[in-house]
Amino acid sequence: MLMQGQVAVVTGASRGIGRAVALELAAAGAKVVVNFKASEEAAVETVNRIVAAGGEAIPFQADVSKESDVKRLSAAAMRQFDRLDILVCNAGIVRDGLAAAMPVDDWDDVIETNLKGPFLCIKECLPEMMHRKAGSIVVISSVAAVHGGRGHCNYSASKGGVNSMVKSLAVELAPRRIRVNAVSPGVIVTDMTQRIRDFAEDEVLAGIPLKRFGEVEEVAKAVRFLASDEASYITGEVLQVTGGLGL
Amino acid sequence: MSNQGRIILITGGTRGIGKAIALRLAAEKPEHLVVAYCMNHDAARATVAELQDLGVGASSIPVDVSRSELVREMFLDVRNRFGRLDVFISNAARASFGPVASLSRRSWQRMMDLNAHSFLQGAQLAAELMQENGGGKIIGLSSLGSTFAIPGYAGLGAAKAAVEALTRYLAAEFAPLKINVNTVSAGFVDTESMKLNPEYESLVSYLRSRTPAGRIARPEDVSGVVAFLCSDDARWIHGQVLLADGGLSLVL
Repeated sequence: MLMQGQVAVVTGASRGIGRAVALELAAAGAKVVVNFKASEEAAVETVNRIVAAGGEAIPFQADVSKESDVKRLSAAAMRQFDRLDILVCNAGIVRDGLAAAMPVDDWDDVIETNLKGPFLCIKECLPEMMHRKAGSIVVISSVAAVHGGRGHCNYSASKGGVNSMVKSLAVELAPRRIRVNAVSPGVIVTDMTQRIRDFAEDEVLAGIPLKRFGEVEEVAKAVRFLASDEASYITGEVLQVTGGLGL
Repeated sequence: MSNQGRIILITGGTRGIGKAIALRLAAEKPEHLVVAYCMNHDAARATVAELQDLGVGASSIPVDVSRSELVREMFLDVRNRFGRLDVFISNAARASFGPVASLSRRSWQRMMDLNAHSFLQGAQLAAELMQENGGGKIIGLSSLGSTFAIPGYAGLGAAKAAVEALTRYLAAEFAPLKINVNTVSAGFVDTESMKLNPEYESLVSYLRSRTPAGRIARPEDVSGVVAFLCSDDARWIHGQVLLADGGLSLVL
């Protein structure tokens, strides 16, 4: 199998896109550290599904915005599986609100989790990847990084930051043979997009040429591709998985 | 595997990147690979034999993709033999290098015909066939010259910019037909045709030192990306230009 013997850390893997990514990488043969912040039960369910399918995985609690937690996370991966090949930074939050009324804490929380979180995870995984001169990092971004939208200036800024960070890290880490890319999903069927799908379904669908919402598996397969050797010459790229949204 | 049982047409499919794509897709057991080629009959025979050795149906068609009537005949041939087409990869390309100040009308027209109109016409005819069968995949090939000023590359660069723009328009228009349209853009790929460039040696050492990945691309670096975009795993990727350049564009 494509990723046989490799070890992957997936943050925010208890549900949604993160869970699909964990399942996809496991199906490709990788051993997976299923990170969660609060949803332990759901994370264990992700692990159980992987194990039931004949794979290997462990759940691990860590808040990606906290440096000490992230250090524990990378240490746990090394302790359990003794190597680290793939990092998928998926954990993310939304705290939508109009700027004039946005609590500063909502700005900080989103930036801390969505932008500082991936930075911390990458930083803590680098020693092992640099030591072995191999690694593939995929950060989940969003179309919000480049499309304006009312009520999520904090979220779009965090994802725009992710895209920029990915490009700089790709250049910085290429000599170490570590690739860094982002996947930028459009509107995907998850808990996070429930409200927008409920309240503006027709309006949103009108902007998607393929005329439906995306599935988490469709994002997960793009992540698996970028993480794999099939994408050996792709680095610093932001791959849009959007059904044509924004064309 | 996701390209199993498919009918696939690749232009410029007997050498270089096109051949690597054909070989990569052959591993997924398509029903038949049609490789179109322009001049080199020996390369075509050899490629078809290699593909058949891998246990897949394969055949070649000689076609100059700058000639509309020959392109129409090629698609008619596919229709007559298979009655359908699942994947069309518009890979054939040709460059003539020179300063933009002396780029002639004739040379411009020739490069647009060969590199841009061939993609447009191929996509149009492919879509006609694909929609009868419920959808398909159309893939274009581009290069960094579409976006960056590479010395001597103006004509091909402009044609590749047209390919990238067409990728978006075709994707938008063909979406209701369930046809995904995407393009793979590569940097400098080490192929036989590149070795014809008189500056080959110095170009390779320059690009190797500039490219963050520390090496120039091999055809296999591109073929894996094309294979992914042809697969249903990539069905939500639509109207995109996917760069496989070892990070070169980030530092140009």
